[in-house]
Amino acid sequence: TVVTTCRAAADSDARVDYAFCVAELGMHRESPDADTWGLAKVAALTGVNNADNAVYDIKALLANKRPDGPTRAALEKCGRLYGSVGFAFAEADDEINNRRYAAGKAKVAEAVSLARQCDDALAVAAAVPSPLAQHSSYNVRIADICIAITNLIK
Amino acid sequence: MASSLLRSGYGLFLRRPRLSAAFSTAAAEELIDVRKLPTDYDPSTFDPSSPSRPPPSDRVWRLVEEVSSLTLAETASLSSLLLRRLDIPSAPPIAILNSATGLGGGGATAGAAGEKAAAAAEKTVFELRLEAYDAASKIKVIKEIRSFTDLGLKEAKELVEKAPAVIKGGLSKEEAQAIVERMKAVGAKVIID
Repeated sequence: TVVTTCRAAADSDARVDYAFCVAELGMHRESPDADTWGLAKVAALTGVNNADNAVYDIKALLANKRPDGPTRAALEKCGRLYGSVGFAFAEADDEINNRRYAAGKAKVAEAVSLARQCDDALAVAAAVPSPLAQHSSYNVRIADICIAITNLIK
Repeated sequence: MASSLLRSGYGLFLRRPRLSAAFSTAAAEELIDVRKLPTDYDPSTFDPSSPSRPPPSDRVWRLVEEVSSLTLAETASLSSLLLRRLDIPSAPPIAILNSATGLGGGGATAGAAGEKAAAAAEKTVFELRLEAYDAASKIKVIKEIRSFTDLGLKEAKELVEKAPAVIKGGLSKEEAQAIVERMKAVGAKVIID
């Protein structure tokens, strides 16, 4: 179950946010019937969804707020980076689905690295739009959950 | 006899070069009269000792001479008129050759050919193209596509993001329509092509 799996994940890895895990994974329609393997995939899929939402928000910021040069450049870079984050999580899902857990976790780690590059770009531009801050935080937490749950798969 | 003429006419027309070869053979063997050779005579495979059909009558030979002298246009007219006279249904040339061996069987063959031609004209295989989708439903669209394809999540995601794109081919019309409805339910516009 979501609750027991999130509990086990949090117990095995201090980085896992138990409440966040239950709240986010529990929303998926596939979660109630999912085993540990299934929940690992749900976590990866949740990562894809967050990344796609980030791309969407970035496009909205670029279109609506018309930021200045440095911020615009940073946002455009972030758009590309989160696009890649989405695909990295998608590949993680595929790897986990094919029972290649080490490769799956490597893809999740790649997603974290890519998102961090966006944070760095925004820091240089001295701009941290609130939607992106949320997506960045979410990305890290869901990645930790995905890796921890993958480690629990028998 | 007329159907035999039809077959003989076509055969002779197609094998005219071989007739020259036959004459050469005849010249080499003085006693052979080309008019006495079997209707299906072929120098390369002919075995004088094997039983064969009797040679055609003089009347047939006279007709063969007449038909051989026709122009292509005249041959076409003759063919058309004979088909009409003998009540042979219109069909591709291959069916005509087959029907010459027996009107009943030929009729069945021609009928089958007609049905195949009709079937070929009607499209029976369709493909689906994703035209657009609601951005908020992107994940649902991706998951739905994976439900009727063998794509991984990454491949499905790539496919959706490059819309418009063909997402499935080789479907019957019923299958295609069912998928269109399912995709519509998750916020995607898919058309059958």
